[in-house]
Amino acid sequence: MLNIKNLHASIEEKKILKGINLIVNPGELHVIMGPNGAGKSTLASVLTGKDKFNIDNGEILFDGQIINELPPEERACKGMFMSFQYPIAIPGVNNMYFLKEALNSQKKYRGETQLDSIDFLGEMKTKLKYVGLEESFIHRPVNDGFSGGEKKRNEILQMITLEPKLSILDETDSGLDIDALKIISEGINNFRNKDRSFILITHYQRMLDYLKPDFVHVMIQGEIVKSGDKSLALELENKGYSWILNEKVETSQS
Amino acid sequence: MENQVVEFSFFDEINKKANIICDDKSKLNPKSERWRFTPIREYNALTFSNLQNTNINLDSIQSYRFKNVILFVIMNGKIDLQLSDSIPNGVQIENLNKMAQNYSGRIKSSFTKISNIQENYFSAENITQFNNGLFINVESNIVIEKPIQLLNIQTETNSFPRFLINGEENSQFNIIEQYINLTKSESKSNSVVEISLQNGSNLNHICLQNGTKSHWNFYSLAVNQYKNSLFTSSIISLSGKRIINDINCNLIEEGVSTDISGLYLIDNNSHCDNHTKINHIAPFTYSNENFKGIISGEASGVFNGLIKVLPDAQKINSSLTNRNLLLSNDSKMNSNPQLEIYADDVKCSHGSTIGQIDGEALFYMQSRGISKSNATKILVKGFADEILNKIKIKSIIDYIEPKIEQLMRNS
Repeated sequence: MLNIKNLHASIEEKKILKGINLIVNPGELHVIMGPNGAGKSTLASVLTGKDKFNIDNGEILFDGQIINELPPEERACKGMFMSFQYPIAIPGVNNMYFLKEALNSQKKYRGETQLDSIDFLGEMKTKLKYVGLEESFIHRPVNDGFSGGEKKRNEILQMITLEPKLSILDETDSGLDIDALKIISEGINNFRNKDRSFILITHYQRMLDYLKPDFVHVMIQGEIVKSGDKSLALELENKGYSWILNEKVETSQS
Repeated sequence: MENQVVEFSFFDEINKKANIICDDKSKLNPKSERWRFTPIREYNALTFSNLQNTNINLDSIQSYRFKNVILFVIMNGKIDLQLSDSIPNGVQIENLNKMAQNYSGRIKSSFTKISNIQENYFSAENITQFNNGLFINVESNIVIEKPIQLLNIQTETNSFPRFLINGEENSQFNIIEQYINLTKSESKSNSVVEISLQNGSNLNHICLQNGTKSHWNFYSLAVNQYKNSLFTSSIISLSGKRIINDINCNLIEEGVSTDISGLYLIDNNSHCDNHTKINHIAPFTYSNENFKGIISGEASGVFNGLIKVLPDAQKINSSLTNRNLLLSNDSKMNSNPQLEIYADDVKCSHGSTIGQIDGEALFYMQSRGISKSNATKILVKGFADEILNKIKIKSIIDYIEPKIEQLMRNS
């Protein structure tokens, strides 16, 4: 589904990603962990097509197609989604209108029948329950005046409405209390199936108590330096990142 | 001769004062603070020829009628009763000469006094030039559900409409003022609207300005509000070469509430200037003012808003906001909200912003599959909606929205 080959990216001459290689197959859940400033969010932004980053080298293949130059909206229409670490407030734009417009733009792109307001509202009512939100929530302006938890739930609501093939969840767990974390995790679990893939960027192991990852990767200074299974996340929680750095130094020396 | 007592008529006396002001050209000094960012020098150099577009299809005028309104057509400042609907019960509509004959007391004495001619040159100029003008009176306890549409059609290069609107005690009514320009050459209109709202009256007012690309629009709105009256107004500037609005509200007695919003859409090389003043004279008065501008091309705008709180006006609540969205790199805006407070127990806030489309919001929407152009459209529309949502009449929204889209195309 996603194949990242030797990806190098920079912002204003500053190199952030220094040769990322990652293959995500359908149905897999990958976790990327790493210290602050490792380039995790940059990777998410580059994958979704934010134009302030330059791709200096390498390729991003999505469903076999190189998408390096594709604008963000086309990547979304092809089935890519990012849950933002800091979702943007859009005062004056109604949440439901925004989401309907997004869904119908994607349907149009794929040549599918667009939903009218009534059908859409009906669908929303079911989806809202999955993320534990009231109906009034979708009539408010997008993320405007939302609490931190509401913003994250809104991201997951968008995900389960747009039904992407690949969801990149950028620190969806940060700033959530235990109950909200559980609800959001359940929302994601219900959404998982053999075709849908996930990249979860996180600092903490705690969300992995609810979501079973297939792979855990450690990213440091713009590179994936170690990959493993769930036990790696637990190890990181106990020992921090320094031992991996030491290990890396030792490997390069030997 | 020397001892002869000269009897001035009502209008002559008013006229004389106005003429003195108009003779003082320092009021139009391009270097004065009032005209600092508005090209009045350009105006001073202009002469407007006395041309008239006589080729007007009267049937086409009906196309400007909004749904479910009581329509009054005003041609170059003069009411045309044949093109208008009948006057509803409880309402008087007549020309200002008749008002001077038939009325006395507060309403007659406030004529030409609500709009401050000392502060506003064009209000004075209107007095020296207006021909007919219209007086509208809504009787006490009368509720007029259907909006009264005042459709101003300008076919002459120079036009000086004048209105005096009085809401008697506990009256409730809606007014849509609309300006349509059908001239073919460089033209000018100088309109003055004076409103007096007596105890407990409630007026919902909309002004739609839609001039040609070579039209100078001077518009003065002045309101006197008495006890517990409610005034809601939306000033919508859709087009024109130069739009100069002067808005003045006097909250004279307790319990008065004023809500003024504005939306100006300017493109090409046009210019829009909004000068507003909210005068809190009495305690326990409330005002809310929110003006928004969308500016594209090489257009420019000025917003100068003042909230003045006089010493007796304790326990007032007032808010003033001006937000601007620049759609192009060559567009310009000068925003200056001001507070002048002489009372010590008040709640006042003011703020202004000038910015471009938020790139982060744009990316956020694109990342959900919405194209960049569509996302821009949604953001601009969302920006305007805060003002449009106050207008409850759908046919007016339908009239305004295409102008917003046109603005985006021209940006």
